[in-house]
Amino acid sequence: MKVPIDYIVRTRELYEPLPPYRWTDNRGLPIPWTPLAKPLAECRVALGASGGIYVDGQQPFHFKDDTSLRAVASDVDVARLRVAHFGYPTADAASDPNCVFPLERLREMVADGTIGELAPTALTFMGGIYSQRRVLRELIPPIIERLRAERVELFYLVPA
Amino acid sequence: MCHQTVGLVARAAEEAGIPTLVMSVGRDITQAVRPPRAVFVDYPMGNETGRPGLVGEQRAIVRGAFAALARMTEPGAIVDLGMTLVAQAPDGRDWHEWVYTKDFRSLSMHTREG
Repeated sequence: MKVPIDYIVRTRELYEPLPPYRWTDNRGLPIPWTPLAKPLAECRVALGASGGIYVDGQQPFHFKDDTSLRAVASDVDVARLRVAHFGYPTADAASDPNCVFPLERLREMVADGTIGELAPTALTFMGGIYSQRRVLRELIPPIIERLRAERVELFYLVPA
Repeated sequence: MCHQTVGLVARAAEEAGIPTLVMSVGRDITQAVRPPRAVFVDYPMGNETGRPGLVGEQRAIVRGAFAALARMTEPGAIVDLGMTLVAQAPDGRDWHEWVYTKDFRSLSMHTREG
């Protein structure tokens, strides 16, 4: 196996001469943990993705600490999905959203019984948010609210 | 920062009583943020669940991630699916040497396989 890529070092180099990004370091802190309440084949799963996916007609993401959320119906026509994100090459996701938003793969897993069902809504956002404080105060609360409202039993998150 | 943001979301969801499963291609970031359950594949950012149109590859990653849940018994688990993308950057180098460097922006890769 190859030496793991040191993204923290590369990010610092890529964004020079901006001040170095202050990465979160939770090492040594307790890790929250909720056991699965049911077998996977009975779980209601929600897809979450930070790769800037939105539906044609919704407001695209902007790149300056955009902490907004898009609700994407789990039965959306994937041909209507779009992508807006500054932090990674989006050409692949634009041609096939499943590269960062594997909704069609999850639908297959519902169809063959691997997972119970999909929550009505997938949640998408633009993860390149500079301010960790804004992630905690602005992005996260509406996500938790939605997951609870849709009685989600497993939240599958894909970054980009 | 996507990896960090997703890790923070996952921690908050588990604190709120909702189990999570997180994909990662950036092991160093994931190891620092420490989401409760993570799956690592050695792919570039932007291809966390595979390359466009390669349904079999996407399936292997997503199904592999869910199958790994059974092996996650400790908070902070990072299960390595053992999948490494073999591909070249546009300048001919291995993608590992190119991803997230100054040459990386808005370019797509030439893949050898698939």
